[in-house]
Amino acid sequence: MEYEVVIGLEVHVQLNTESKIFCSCSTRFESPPNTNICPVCCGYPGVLPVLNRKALELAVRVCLALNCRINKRIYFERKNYFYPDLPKNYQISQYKLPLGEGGYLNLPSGKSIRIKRIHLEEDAGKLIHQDTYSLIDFNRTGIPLLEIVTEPDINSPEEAFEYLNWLKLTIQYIDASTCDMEKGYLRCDVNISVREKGENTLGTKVELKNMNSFKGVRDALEYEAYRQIDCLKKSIPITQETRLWDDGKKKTFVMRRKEEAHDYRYFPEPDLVDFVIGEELIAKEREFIGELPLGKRERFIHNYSLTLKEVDILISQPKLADFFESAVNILNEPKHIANWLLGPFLECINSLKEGEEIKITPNNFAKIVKYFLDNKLNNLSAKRVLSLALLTDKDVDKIIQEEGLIQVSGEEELSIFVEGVIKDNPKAVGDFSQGKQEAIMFLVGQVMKKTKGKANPKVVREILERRLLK
Amino acid sequence: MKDNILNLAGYQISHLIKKAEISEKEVFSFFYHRIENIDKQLKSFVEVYDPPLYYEGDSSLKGLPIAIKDNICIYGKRITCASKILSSHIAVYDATVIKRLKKAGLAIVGTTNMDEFAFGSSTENSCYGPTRNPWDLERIPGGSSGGSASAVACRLVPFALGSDTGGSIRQPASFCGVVGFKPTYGRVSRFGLVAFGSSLDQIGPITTNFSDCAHLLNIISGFDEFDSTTSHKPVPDFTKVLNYPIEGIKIGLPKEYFGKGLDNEVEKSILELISVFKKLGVKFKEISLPHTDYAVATYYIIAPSEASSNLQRFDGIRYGLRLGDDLMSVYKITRKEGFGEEAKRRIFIGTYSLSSGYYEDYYLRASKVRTLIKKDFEDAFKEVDVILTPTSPTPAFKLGEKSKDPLSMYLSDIYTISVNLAGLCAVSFPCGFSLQGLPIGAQLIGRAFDEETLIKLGSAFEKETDYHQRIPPIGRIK
Repeated sequence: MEYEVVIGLEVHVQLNTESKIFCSCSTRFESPPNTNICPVCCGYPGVLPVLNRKALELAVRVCLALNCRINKRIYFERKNYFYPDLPKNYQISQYKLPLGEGGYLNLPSGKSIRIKRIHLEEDAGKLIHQDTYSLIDFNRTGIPLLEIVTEPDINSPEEAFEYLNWLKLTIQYIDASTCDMEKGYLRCDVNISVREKGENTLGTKVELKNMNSFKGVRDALEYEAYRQIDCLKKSIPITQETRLWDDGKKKTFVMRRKEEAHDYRYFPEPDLVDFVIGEELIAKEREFIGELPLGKRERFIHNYSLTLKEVDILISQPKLADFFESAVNILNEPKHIANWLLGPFLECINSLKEGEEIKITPNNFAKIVKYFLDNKLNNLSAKRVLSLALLTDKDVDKIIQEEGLIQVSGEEELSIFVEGVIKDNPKAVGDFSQGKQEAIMFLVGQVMKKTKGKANPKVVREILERRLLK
Repeated sequence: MKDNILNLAGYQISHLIKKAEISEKEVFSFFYHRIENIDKQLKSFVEVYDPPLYYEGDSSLKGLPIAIKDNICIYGKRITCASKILSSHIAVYDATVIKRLKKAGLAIVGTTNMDEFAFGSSTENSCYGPTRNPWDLERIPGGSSGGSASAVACRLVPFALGSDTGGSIRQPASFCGVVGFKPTYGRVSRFGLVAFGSSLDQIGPITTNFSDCAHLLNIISGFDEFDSTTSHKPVPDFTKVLNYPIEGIKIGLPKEYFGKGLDNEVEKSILELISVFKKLGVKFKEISLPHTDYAVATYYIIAPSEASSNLQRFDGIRYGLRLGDDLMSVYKITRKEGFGEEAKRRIFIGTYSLSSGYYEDYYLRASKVRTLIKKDFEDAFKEVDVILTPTSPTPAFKLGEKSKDPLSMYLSDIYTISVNLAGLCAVSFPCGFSLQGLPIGAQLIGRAFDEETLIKLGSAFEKETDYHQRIPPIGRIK
């Protein structure tokens, strides 16, 4: 018997706004507890919410990027439930009429995942449990969230993983959220059921929570698919329930059964008016959406002879991809630009200290690669120039001049150093004469040392070979 | 001059202060004396600030004391909504109306009693005990802004602010013989007003006359960036229409408001009022508001639904009363002990109306009927400029008379409720007295954002009569 897994994802993304959705408190991460709060987000008696226009704009942008139909007139609703992290004991959300509906996200694999709905809502606070009491941090209360719900179109944990990565990248491209999962800027709940292949009706669905990374989502789904298929095989009924993923034990555990489900008593939020999503707003947001990652990926594959892996790394950061293209515009050597970008450049960036800002221009970067390709800088010197140029907008020519790094390839000039090295290293010379090939590398190294790395090692080797094999 | 204050309107006293014919200090001490001497019997105040919260600012009412219903936030002061659950709560910010009063140079002298969270029509549902009607201490002052109405009627303050969700300004104004104005929904900011029914609530002035009413409306009206439901419509100078001719204005008399249940004396006063208006050239026309019969039922679904949600924040976690020692018991015991009976009743009705399986039959259906009620008024206003009705079917009733029968209590707001459902403006003003000496109020209902026509008519009527100048016996001391 073959089985099919059916998965739907519910992703919450924190929108990239300076202030909260219904008050002017800051959204800054890692502020001391309860410092970004005010009477409004703490639900004091008499307060009223006022919608942050920026949150609505970013939400519209995401809806457009995910090909949703945007409802032209929207309103908010109250989702009522008691919980200490929810100061008003209701969450202002959208229910009957979400901002966006009927969208889709195409994946590199060719599959299209339908987006059922996207709606705007406010976040709750954070509970910090102690031994005999709990603390509440309301900094997060009222931070704008976008809930993005798929249709049950995903058929494997791997596909869920791919969807999440592309969703994240798409949202990052349009600057609507950083999607930083470690900071809780992206959270994901999943629904999963299994059925016999060919079956039309869906199996009993189970909701999974508490995954802290995309990998965690994939692992949880793998475990849960296995568990449910095992149930089917053994004819054990699957119960509709919510299960928590334990990342340490790599297992899911029951959190609550269906009969414990809430009645949220949704009704229209009377403190907010209806909002008309005008053509002007839509046009403005549409304009903001440039090339999306999938389009960029296809174009890179088509335009530049790069490996798929290289393309995927380049487009994984919009800034990196843009930098690459600017540099290629200056120096039409995509392969070399990519090599230098993904190799030495990323290496340099990874070793940056906190607070150091990358200032190098694509023009300067292309120049370094060009120097290298023209044999004017050896590999070592080029890397050194790169590390020096990274944090400045100083011209590369000037850096090379100041550091005196231009490669010495003149035979006449180099022969002087070669003679000196031969004289000082009789043992190595002897070894080489007796056929030890590696001895010549030692001698090249000595010349490099004497020239402070400026010598063209290829030319040095040629001179040495000619001289010693005479 | 000091002896004269009692018979002057607020704006006239302010004028005297500006001319230095009387000092602010003298004015304060005049009113503080009255509060001290008279309020023991009335119990209209929850808290009296001595000295008052006085702020530099200017307006035509500068230097005058004002009382505030205890559901409007005043920074640094207790705000209780006459509920045990909030009795220790200090407001951490100023309501927008309070900011505007401060800017206008008024002095806040204290907070007034009310039905708990504005749930009621008699000011009996207060954790501080009932307020009395100054015309007959055995009777209720109306509610829920009973403290404000009673204090103003007895001239303990020249005026006060109240809030009106279904008649809570107009009905007590009618029972106490003063002017109570409910502005159009969206005219006055609700920011800082503890919400009862968010789509119905509106703050408004309670004054002894229409001039003061217009002056106060000038101060508190207008768009507020902290309340999305306030209107951007420009606010006219309401005092400009105080001496306007009213000839040619067309008033509608809805037949549904003059039928069964209307007290004879109330009806008689309204008829006299009509004849005064007719003499001034006002035209009358009988109209129909066909969905009137459903107003009370509609209101008692929508208002409690919103209230049940609004009151969820009183949970013992962040402020106010906290009882119990674990999460569940804090929720349960705090709310059980903190809320009064009527509050609980409305939380139950509202929670039920919004619950899955009932939502369609209750909340949703009520919302649809609300639209029909709104349309009734829209249709009526195609034929007439203003609608005239009694404010309440009877004059003030006795303490305890209706407190055991919620339904009959709800019916005392039968003429005022539709106005809130439709979001219109309306005012109650004294138009006569019963044989027992109880004030009778008339209600004028205007088109949305047409407060001016109500003020025109009301002030014209005031020139023809002296009802607004009568002071309850216990307030006649100097």
